[in-house]
Amino acid sequence: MGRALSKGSLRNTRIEEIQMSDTHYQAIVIGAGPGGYPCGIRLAQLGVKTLVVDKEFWGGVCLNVGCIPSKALITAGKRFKQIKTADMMGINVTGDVSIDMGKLQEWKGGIVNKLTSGVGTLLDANGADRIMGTARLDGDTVVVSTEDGEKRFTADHIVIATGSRPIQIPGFEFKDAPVLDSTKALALEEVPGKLVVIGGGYIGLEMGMMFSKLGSEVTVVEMMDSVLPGFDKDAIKIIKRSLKKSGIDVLTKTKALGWEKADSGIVVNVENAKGAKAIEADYVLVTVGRFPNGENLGLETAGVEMDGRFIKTDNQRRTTNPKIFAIGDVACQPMLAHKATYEGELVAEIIGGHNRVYDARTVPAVVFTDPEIATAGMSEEEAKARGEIKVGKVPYAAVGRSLTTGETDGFFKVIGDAETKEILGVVVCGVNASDLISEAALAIEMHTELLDMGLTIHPHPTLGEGMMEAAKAALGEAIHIVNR
Amino acid sequence: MSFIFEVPEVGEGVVEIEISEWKVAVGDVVDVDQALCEITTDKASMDIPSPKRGRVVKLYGEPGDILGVHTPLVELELDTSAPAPAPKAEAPAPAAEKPAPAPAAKAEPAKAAPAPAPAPAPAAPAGPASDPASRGVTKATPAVRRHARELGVDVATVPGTGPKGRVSHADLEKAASAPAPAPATSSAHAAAPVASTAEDKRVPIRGIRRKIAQRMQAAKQTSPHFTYVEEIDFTELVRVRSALKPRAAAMGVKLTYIPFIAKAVSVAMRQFPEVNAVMDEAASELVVRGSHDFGFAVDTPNGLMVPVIRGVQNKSVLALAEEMGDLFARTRDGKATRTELSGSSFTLTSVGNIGGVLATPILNTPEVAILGINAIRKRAMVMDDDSIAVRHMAYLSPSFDHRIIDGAIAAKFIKVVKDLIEHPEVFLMELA
Repeated sequence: MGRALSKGSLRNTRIEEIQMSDTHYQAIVIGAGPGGYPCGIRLAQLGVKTLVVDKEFWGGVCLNVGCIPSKALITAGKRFKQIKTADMMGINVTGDVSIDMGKLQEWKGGIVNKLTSGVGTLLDANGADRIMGTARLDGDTVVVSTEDGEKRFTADHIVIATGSRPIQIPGFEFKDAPVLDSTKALALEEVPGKLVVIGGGYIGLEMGMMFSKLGSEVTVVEMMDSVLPGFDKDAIKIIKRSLKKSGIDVLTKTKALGWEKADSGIVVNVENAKGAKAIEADYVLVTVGRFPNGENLGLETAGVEMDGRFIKTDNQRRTTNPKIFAIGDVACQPMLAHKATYEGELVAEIIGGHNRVYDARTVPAVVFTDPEIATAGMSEEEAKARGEIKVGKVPYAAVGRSLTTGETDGFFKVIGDAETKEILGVVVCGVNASDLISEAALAIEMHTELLDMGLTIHPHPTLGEGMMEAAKAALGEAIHIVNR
Repeated sequence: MSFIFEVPEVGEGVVEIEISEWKVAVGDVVDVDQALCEITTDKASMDIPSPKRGRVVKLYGEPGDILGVHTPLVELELDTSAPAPAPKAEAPAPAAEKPAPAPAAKAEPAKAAPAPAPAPAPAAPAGPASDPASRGVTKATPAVRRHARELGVDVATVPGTGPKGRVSHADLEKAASAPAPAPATSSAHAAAPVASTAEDKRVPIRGIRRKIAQRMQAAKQTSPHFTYVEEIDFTELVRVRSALKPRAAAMGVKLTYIPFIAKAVSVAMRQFPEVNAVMDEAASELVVRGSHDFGFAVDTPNGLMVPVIRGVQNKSVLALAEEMGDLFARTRDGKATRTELSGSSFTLTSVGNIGGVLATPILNTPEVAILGINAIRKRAMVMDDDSIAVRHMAYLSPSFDHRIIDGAIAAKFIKVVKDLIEHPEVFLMELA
């Protein structure tokens, strides 16, 4: 994947000159992912002399081997399927519809390259220095191992934004070619004939559904009794239906034991209450979660303490060493890029002398399954545990625009406080849910009432009307469904 | 017609009041300007007069309750000649516009049912504490939350005057300009004495006492401070002051020891500027203040206040004495302005007036030092030549933030102050 991302082409050469005379910075940011790079840009904007260090990519996992490339491939998978099913709209495709994986990867690489070089340009344009290398702390000093040897820097403030990595499980080592983590899976130059996905969480389902659309025969192996553990029950129902429709085999309450080479490809050995089973495959993709990159950073030399897997921080994301901050996946849940970005800017402003605190009410979450799931605020269960609630639920099929997309599976769910009518949580499951949820996040931050959303005129014909309708449904005032 | 009288703005920066006593009861007919209740703010107590004539329908709160400015205080029925009004349909519901049958009746006003008269307009917002809308969460938008942080205001303590108790930018500004409650010494100012009865009595911590409590707790929690004690021979200063007192009096100025001590501290700060500083906790930075703006703890009928005299380094002892006389008097009368009561860089507190040998002052955070000045008493001292003499002695007991000021610095700083007080003639060399 991404040949264009070779370290040489993106390494900042200006750093050599700086090295000569000056090794002190007001702030050093370790990690240039969606937390670190905005942090570096904001610091530089505030006039703080800043160095950003990354061991492999500008833009981090998210831009290079995570969110962005996976969405490119998911879009391709969806487009491929739409072409094959276009006949329902009277579009007849004659001849072979096929996938050229090499060309698809090239297209994806171009997108990634554009975004990551943009990150470098922005850091430079704002006056932040950057260096490619692996950083660790040695007390107050940041030691960076680069291709040209070790360099040492001191700083008034250090921001640790080292992110997370896929968790490896016993019996499946990423160093073996047929065992894929998300990074390797997104770089495949071929569509696997048969793919086993271990872990039915959101990354596993996004990738599993994507490969299924591109033509793979997919089996999902999940330890728990359902896919997407922890998600909205109604959304899980929709996704289960979709998985079934696309012929993805889901084995729940099943443990993956290991894999071995077979005559053609591999077999993945799994076990559940019914007994052991060997599943034939070309690749096995392991997506059982991500682990924060808090080790091998020399944190102990700087008095930075851990809190379990994460670095211990306060509500300003300050660690137990007041000079040092930690943001993003390495600091706390939820491990989501947009939370890291918020924290990066927050910490930059604190270092820049502003009084700030993490006080966001909600971190919205989006899942790019088919259909998509997007949530903001409390889940129905959380809200119920807190007091009496009113829930409005409107199916996609009741929204005119949804019918015209040809994809009507899904719903809008708006949860409000029964007494105060304040909106507490929103779940959207359906086509383009990811683009619809921001309205809900704003509503929650603004302490909006159900009626505020219900009385805000939403343009017709759009999917967004479903959100307005669901808010009204919670009050028993919906027009396009029968109120209960 | 019903009228809801809201808590008026009783002073600049006052965001909440405490009801001390109701002077009317439900059913009473009150005249314009008749006192409705006595209230206490963090500054003073006063009567709130009625703006209109009417019959009292409802009192919002009991004595001891705290109400935000612009929240309901008293509901009056204005037309007192009319019999008790029957609820009448106010504000025609826009039912006709609704294509679907229903909702109108379901809308909000239904909640207000038990009120004897329909409330005019959307019922005024209740105080944040009683607002069920927030269920313990202060309603503030992200922009307001950031603003609060910048102002150093805990948004959860700000009474919101917006819809359903929402905190506005203006609410924050008001809260931020409220007076900084004074620092106290750990020995003085216990809670108001409880009437001595056989039974326990629960005394709510309210008003200025609550503010003091919060500040003291914050000071103790954020700043590890230590107290250093030195004994000072005031004999020479006693002599100098007695000689100068009549001259100052002739100019209408009451000359106390405090201006001399303040001046000595200011001179000593030239060598130790870090003592005249405040902590910026968020930035982990010490702000060493350029001007010597000294706060002086003053006991007032409304509690401890800290009026500030600015630019001590540029003022003569006489000028300081004159300014203190005026400012302290106005502070006691509750007439000092908000500005005069905030922004100090160092605080002095006299703690020996009532008794006691010495006290350990709590910092007036974010300052990093406070000077406790204890009573001057005559004591028998062994002099350099081993004779025993009666000398005017006093302890100075400064407290320092140990994060910033080490013991050695504290000792050296006080040594300079001691030298100046014991040898007042040195002040001559300080004349510009």
